[in-house]
Order: sequence, then C-alpha cells, then structure tokens
Amino acid sequence: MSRRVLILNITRMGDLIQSIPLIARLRHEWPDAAVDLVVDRSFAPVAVLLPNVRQVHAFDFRALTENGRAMAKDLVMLYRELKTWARPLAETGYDRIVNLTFNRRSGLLAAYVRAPDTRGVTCAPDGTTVVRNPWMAYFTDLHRHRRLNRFNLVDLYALGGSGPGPFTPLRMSVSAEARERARALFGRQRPAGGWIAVQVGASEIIKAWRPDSFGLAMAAIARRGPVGFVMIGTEAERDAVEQAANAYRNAGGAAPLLNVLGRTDVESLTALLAECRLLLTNDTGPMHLAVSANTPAVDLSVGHVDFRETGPYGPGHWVVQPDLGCAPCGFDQVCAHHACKDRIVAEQVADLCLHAMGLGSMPSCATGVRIYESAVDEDGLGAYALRIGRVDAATEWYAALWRRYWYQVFTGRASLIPAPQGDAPGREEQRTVFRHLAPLLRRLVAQADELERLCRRPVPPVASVQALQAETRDLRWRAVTLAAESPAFGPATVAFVRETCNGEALTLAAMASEHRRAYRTWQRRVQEIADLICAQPNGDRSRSVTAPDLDGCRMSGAGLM
Amino acid sequence: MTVFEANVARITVNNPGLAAQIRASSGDLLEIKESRNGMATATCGGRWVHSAYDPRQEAERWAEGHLAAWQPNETAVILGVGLLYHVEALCRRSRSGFQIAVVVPDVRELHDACCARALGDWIGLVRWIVGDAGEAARALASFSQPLRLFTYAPAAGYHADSHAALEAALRDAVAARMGGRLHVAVVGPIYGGSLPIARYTVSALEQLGHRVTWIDHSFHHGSYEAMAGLSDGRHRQLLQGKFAELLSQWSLARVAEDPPDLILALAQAPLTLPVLEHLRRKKFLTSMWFVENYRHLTYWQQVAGGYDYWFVIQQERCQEALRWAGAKHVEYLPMAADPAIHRPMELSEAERCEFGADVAFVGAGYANRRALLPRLISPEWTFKIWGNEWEGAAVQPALQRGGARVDAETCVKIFNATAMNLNLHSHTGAGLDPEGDFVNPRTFELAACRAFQLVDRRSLLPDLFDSGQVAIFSDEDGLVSCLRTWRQEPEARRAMAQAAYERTLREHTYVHRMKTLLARIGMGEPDRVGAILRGDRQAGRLVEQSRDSPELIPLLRQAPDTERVELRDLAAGIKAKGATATLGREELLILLLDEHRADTRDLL
Repeated sequence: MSRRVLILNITRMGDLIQSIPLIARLRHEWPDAAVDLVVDRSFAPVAVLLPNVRQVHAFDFRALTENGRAMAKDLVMLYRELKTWARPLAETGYDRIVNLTFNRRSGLLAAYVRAPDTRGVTCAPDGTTVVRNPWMAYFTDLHRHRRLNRFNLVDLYALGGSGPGPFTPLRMSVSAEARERARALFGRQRPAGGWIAVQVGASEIIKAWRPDSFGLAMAAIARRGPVGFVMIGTEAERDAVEQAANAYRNAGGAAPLLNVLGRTDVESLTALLAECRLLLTNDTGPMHLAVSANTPAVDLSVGHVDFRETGPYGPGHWVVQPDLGCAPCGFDQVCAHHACKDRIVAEQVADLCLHAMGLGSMPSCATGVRIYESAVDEDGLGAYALRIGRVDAATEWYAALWRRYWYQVFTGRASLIPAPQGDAPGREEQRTVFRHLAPLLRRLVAQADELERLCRRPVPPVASVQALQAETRDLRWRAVTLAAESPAFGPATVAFVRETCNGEALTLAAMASEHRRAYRTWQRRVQEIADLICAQPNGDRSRSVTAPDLDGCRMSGAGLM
Repeated sequence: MTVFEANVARITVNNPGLAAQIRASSGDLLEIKESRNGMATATCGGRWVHSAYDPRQEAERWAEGHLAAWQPNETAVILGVGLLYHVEALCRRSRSGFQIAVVVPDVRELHDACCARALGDWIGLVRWIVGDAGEAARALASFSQPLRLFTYAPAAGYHADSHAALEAALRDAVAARMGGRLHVAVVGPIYGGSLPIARYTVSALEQLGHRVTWIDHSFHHGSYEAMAGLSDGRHRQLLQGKFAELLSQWSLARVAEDPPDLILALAQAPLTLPVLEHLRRKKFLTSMWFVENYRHLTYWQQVAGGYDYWFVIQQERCQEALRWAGAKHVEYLPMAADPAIHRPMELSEAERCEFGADVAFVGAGYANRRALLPRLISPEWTFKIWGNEWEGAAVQPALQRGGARVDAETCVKIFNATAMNLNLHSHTGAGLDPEGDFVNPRTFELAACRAFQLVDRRSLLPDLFDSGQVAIFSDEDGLVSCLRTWRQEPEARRAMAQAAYERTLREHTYVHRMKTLLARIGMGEPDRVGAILRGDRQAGRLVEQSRDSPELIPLLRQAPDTERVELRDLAAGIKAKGATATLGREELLILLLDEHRADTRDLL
C-alpha cells in the first residue's frame, strides 16, 4: 500500500510554493507516496497547481476565526462544520503529517488527524504545543537568532518533512490555456528588450518598498533599455500601483506600462511571469511564482523580511537588503519610520535589474545596501553570495559555523560546504563565556541526573525534588543568561530552552528523563562548538559533529583549551 | 375545477378555516394584468406588485438575494402577499426542515392570488398567518423555530402599517422572553449630551443581566479640548479629525480585547466609516443610538451605511434620510430616564432654599431661550435659571451660580425643589422650534423625579405622555398664562407629576429602551442576538442541539443548563484538566476552534 502524507500549509501563498521541493523529496523518499495538502480556501487555486499532490483539502479558516470571534455561530454549529471537514482526514490513516504552519492551531489539527510520524507543530496528549523533528524545531528557534540563520525555508521544509536530497528547483505546472490567457494580456506590444513585471504590493505594508521608489526605478530602467513594464498584483494593491505609475510618469518614464492588476489568477500570473524577462518585487508570493516560472527575480528585502529565510530559491536571482542595524526587524516589530526602505536607491535597483537581464554590467558599488546573488551550495541547499556591500565579519563567521553544524547534527551527514576560515571572531571573549558556562552546565547535568534518579523512585521524595528543582531553576537561569546572546553558544541555548518546554511526558519520571536529555544535549553542543571555535585556523574544523549524545561528557571546564 | 378551486383545495388540506375565508372573500384588492411574457401580474393602487415583464424572474432574484441569510431551522416569515411568485421561488429553494410562513393582512389579496394563477402543491405547505397584528404576532411567537423576517416590498408596502404593528408586537414578544445574557460593547462619545446617556445605557444593560464593556472616551476630552485652543481653524480640524480616527482605532482595539456580541455606539462615538466597515467584514454587529437632532448634527450622513442598526429619536423624515444615506435598519427609539439617578428626593432645608423656586429652567442658553426666558422674570414668582452659555443674555437676575454648568445630581435637586419646571427644547431660532418633533431627555428626567413640568409642544410627545401627565404650551404668550394658571393649582400639579412619574417607571426608563433595542436587533438577527436572547446558547439548549455530536454532551454538561456557554468556556474547562490528561479528539477540536476564536491580529 502506498504511503500517505498530509502536509498542513494553511496560512501563506508563498509557503505553498516553497513546499514544492518537499513534495518532490517525499516522492523521492517514497516513490508511491500519496501527498495531500491542507490549505486555507483562499489558497486552493495555488495548491492545485503544485505538482504531485493527490488531493487538496481546503477549508475556510478565516471564516472559522471570524464566526468564532464575533460569536456569529454557536459552538455546536462551529464544531459540526469543522468536524464534518476534518473527520475524513482523521479516517484516512496518514503515515506522516508534515505541518508547515507554525502555530498552535495547526498543531491541534495535526494532533486531531494523527499519524505515527508527525513533523512540525503538534500537541502532546494533554493538548500542550510541541514541535517534533529537529529541523522544524530549528524553525521555531529561528526568530531568536535570525542573523545567524543560513537556511532557506524551502530547505527547512524539505529537510524536516522528508530528509536530505538533491537540489530541487521550484517548478509549477501551468496549462497551455493559462499561457494563452497570459499572452493575450500583453496585446500586440512587444518591447525589444522584453517585459519587466513589477510587484509593488505586499501582504503587509512593512514588507513593501515605497511605491514612489518603484516608479523611479522603473523610469531609470526605461531610460537605458527598450523594455516595457507590466504591473501585477491584486485589486487591494491598486492605490500603491497607481502611485508607482504616477511616479514613473512624473520621472519621465515613457516605456510601455501595462497594468494587469486584478486580471490574473495564480496560473495565468505564473504564465505571465514566464513571459517576462524579470520580476522586480517585494518578498511576496508572486516572487516565488516567478522563481517557479524560471524568471529571474530582483527581491527587495525590507521590513521584517529576511531573504535568507524567504528569498528567491535557487540560482539566478538577486536580493537587495538595506544595510541598517535594525534590518531585518523582528516579526512582531511595529516600525514608525520604515527607514530601511529609504536605504534602497532607485537608480541602483535599476542598474541591478539591467544587469540581471543582461542589458548592463554588474554595478560596481551600491550605497546603503547589500546585494546578493542566489545560488545552490555544496550540500544542495539554497544560498546567497554577497556581491556588493559590507557585512559583519563575525556574524558571517558564526553563521557559517552554525550552518555546517546544524546540517551535520540534524542529518547525520558531513556537510560539503567549507568550514569558516580564520580565527573565530571574538575568540577570547567566547572562551571566557565558555569558561564560566562549562562549570554551570556540569552542575546542571549532575542535578538533572539526580532529579531523574529521585523521580524514578516508587514514591518520589517531594520535598527533595522541589528543593533540587528550585536550585536547578536558579542555576539554569544563570547559564541561559550567560549564553543566550553569545554567537557561539546562543543558538544551542535557545534550542535547549525550547526543548525543555517541548516535552510530551505524562509522568514526573518521564519528564525528568526528558529534561536530563535536554541538559546533556545542551552541554554536548556547547562543548562541540567550543572545540570548533577554539581550533587553530588550520586545525580540523571540518570534522564531523554528529556524535550521539554521550553520557560521559568530555567537558572539563576551564582547562578545555 | 377552476384554477381558484384547485388552489383553495390545496390550502384546505391543512387550513380549512382559511380556505373558507378565501371562498367567502370578495377579492378585488389587486388588479390582475398580463405581463409581457404572458404571465399574470398585478397592480395595487396603481403600483406594480410584480414585474410587468417577467414576474417569475423577478421573484427568483428576490429569493436568491434572501437565501444566504436564511439559517437552518429558522422559519422564514414573509411580509407581502401579492400573487405569491416570491413565496413560490423561496419554497423551491428551501431545504428539508425549513418552514415558510406568509403573513396575510387581508384575505382578499389571497383570494386574488388564488384566482390569478395556478399555484402548486407548495401552497399546502406554507403556514398562513391571518388576523390583525396582535393575533399574527401571537401565532408567530408560538413557533418553536426562530423567525427570520423577509419583506417583499412591492406587496408589503400597501400594508405597511399592519406590518409595522406586527413587527412591534413581535418585538415585544421577543423582549418579554429575553433570557440569555449578551455581551455588549458600549462606545461612548468624547464629551457632550450623549455621554450621560451612554452611562445610563450601560447601567440599563447591566440591570437586564447583560455583560457590558464600556468603551469610555470621555477621558480623552482634555486632549480634544486642548486642540480646540488652536487658533488656526484648519489645524484644529485636522488634528481633531486625526484624533477621532485614533480613538476609532482605540475602540477597535478594545473590541479585539474582548469581542462582544454587539457593539452599541451612542451619538458622537468616535467610530469612523472605515472602522465600521472593517467591523462588518469581520462579522461584528454594530448599532447606533443617535440621541441627537438629525437636522442639527449631520455627521450621520457619513456613517449611515456603516452601522447595521440605527435607533433614532425622530421619525419619518429622519428615518427616510438615514435610509437614503445608506442605513439598512432604522427604528424609532425615544429618550428615557434612569430612575436610579432621576428620582424623587427628600431635600434638606438648605437645599430647598438654594434650589427651590416657583419657576426654574435648567439648560444652556440657546437662542430661543435667550429670547423667551427674560420675559419670565416677574415679581409674580421666583424664577431661577441654571446652566451655562448665558453670557450676554438679559437673565442675570435669575441666573444661578454665575452661569456655571450643573451636574446631573444638582439637576435632580433642582427638579425636586421647583414648583414649576420649565422644559423648553433648544432651538437656534428666536421662538419655539417649528419643526419640534423629538422629546428631549429632560422631559423623562423631570417625570422620573415626580416633578411638574411645562413643556413646549412636540409632535412626538403625545405618544409618550398625555395631557394629564405634562403641561404643554404652544407659544410664548401661552407659557406665561400657563404659569399663572398652574401656579394656582398645586394639587393638580402634584397629581400630574405623579401620573407622569408612574408612566415613566412603567414605560420610559433606559431599561425599557434597551429591551426594545435588543429585541429589535434580536428579530433582525435571529441566529445571533436573537438566539442568545432566547437562551439558545445556554448549555441545556446546546446539549439538545448536539444530537449528531454526542461526544460534545459531556463537555456541555459541565455547565449548569441555564448558563451561556461559548467556546472559551469549554476550552477553559479542557485546559484545566492539567498536564497528566490525555485529551480526546473532540477536545482537540474545541481547543482548535477556540484558538481561532482568540486570534485578533487581523482586527487592528
């Protein structure tokens, strides 16, 4: 019997397109796999275009929120509606659920449907939220150390939902009829230099470069190349698009300007993008559509967008990121100034677009931004190479370290990307952190061992357990505070904190065992990282760090180096 | 068998009494004509009841437009008979379990319909509601299913009075059976006359047992006033406009904190049209009690379409104007008194001395008052004027406290201490308001204080108080002679004040008004506010509705039968099971529903 996999991908259009390599990877893992998708009803038109999907289960989750929140329907009616839809999923008997929607709601749905192998957010038997699978857990930790992350969500989905494998580009199937519809939108105009699609809008205003700036960049391109522009987007984005068009005309833009706003569906938009030579865009769903249509994208990564997570996947695309201390900002950041958007200069974006189309040389410099070119790295994962701009060397060094480390730890395979070169930046400072951290971790592991021993007694001594827990709590707080902000030990510490909150144990003894494992893992990872950063520049930083958790840890505190 | 006989025979099966009435009727209410496509159509009083081109297609469109609102297990009550094309269209679309009732104010019309065209078997399934408004309301109120009223306007129009009476009777029936507990968010203004009304409204809703979130904007008054101090009028308006927008968002944020069943705004509440439209998109019900003169304060024109329900203190023209501006539901809801505030009081000697007078007036110095009141300063009686904005008026000998504003508590003392309270509605012209229609709150407040009052003539006053309850004057000269007459009749004044007091407690408190308001919205929203008021969201009723989901019953049984249970309550019970529990699938679904319910990120 074929394996059945259910992917929950509810909230974003871009995420759906980004899950294409996961679906391909699942078919590689289980060639006869039947892959089903759960999506919000609004994204069903995208979901049906994804290759190798057996069935799309769409539900109006937005209406569920609205009806529940405004109490427009009583709870029995809401329950009945949801159950009627969800019960067939539970009865299907999925072998694996891959939950790519990282919230508690989807976790509860995953727990309701149930599968022997659930990856991503789900629920413990008591209903508390837990994350299964190290890659998916990494995803939930990511917001705590975004600047050190070097994994694209596409890869996290594929690695977490299936496992390592060859690079798979984003590709979607588009019908001939949709291609015809798309071509008809262009009419008889045929600019010699081709069409540039422009996506001015974004799902949130903070993610969108200023419309006027789009217009100025378009005018600058038009002055230097025989191109035409096709404005894409939804009706809701009309104001922004008109603002961009006005700015374009006011700046002397005379090249053809075609507005197809609200005249495309997902399929015809993909086909339309395939007809274009380039997409100039904010980080949006249409950007991923362009990638899937093999059309180069120039991604303006502003606001809380981090292109390393959601940027264009695979080779041949470009990213402009403002060089500003607060960029990218946090996911829940409310920003009053959007100053990052003003860092991006329209003329320079125009230069990059012309270069991306082969109509100009690579800009020799740019001010206030970094420009990256997308690529595929030695492990077959999406990557970005800095072409213009400055980066913080320390951040890059530690990001490269963590990229290799997590890949090796989570896959059990040696990473083929080179280890970071040269001395670890701030090596002495990190050694000092380690010197203070190591004895704390040693004591914490010892206390966790003792707690587990006490809890395993037929009648655990409550007073002793509570006293030890209090002592551990205090010690743990000190260790976490010490390590959390360190680029060397922070990510492992964040993972530890999450793991201690991610338990599924129902008994005290099982809980103590989970915690003991978490402390030991933390200690081991800190040790391994310490070994790596303290190795000599020519030393063996490329060695594997995939050793299983060892009870007899080598950690000896201050004498390590 | 004739078409008429065949039709009546179908009705006879379930309703022989009505069939006999139809046979006995002479008909001839409608004038039957042939439409362009050869079907029977009709006019009444020269107006088309159905399309002159294709009555069936027109009826299909009408039915299609109403179908989405028709919830399972509701009885559709159709107002408007005509030739029943629209009823037939709705019947054709009804699913099993649906019931359709048609109100028949005049059997002659049904006779005409039966004569005009062959009706199908569906007419045997319709429940015909015949009789006067009271009988019809009683019949409908006895239905076990919730009612949803659909109006076929072309046919309902010529029975408008009858239908209005039916709706009022039904509303009273709903009000009388209110059992459930609503959560109402009351949005008040920044300042002004509607601010105390908002407070009385909150109190009344709470007295009715509902939960109230009071979104009080009065503490922003200082900032608003500070902006008023700007000398550049454009800057002032710009800032005050932006401030109102901010407070509108503030209201939205408060709604997001604890989403209510209903949002009730009082006049001048800072809710902008975009916010109201956003609330509608997010399925929140909104209502506005516009306790202002629509001729003076005209901002309702900008927000008319934003509120789901409007309640106004004026009739015909006001309601027409609002409907013209986009309001869907507009109802008359007069002012009232709060007996906890406005009450007879025992006053101390010092208070009697300070507040007492033969004649007194409380209020601001509007133009008509400035013109009239100086004429009342007379050696014949003591006269006191209380209130502000009297600068420059020739009332100084009577003006108290140097024209300072008086608070509600002081007002009550003045009302109680004064022999003859003058209640002159404000007007910007010199004399009495020639368009005077609505009755101001003071009328009810004086009555609730068991105080005698002389009130200027208002067209809507006779429906609220009769001539044995308040003394009415029609012009300035009449006022002086009235004062002279009533001054000589202390016993008659007392009797009149007592009668007005009793009427107010019986009919004109804010509790009465809120009952009416909720009942009206309940009728319009039978599956929401109506269901909650009926108690359909209480644990016992939900258990009855859970027959196809028996796994829910143990969870619902944890609450007393008469307690309202919503998702958050059920979810809280599940979460309280603790870390060692193993949840069932139904519990996971409830938690999932509750998580969706609690998501408010898209609200602001």
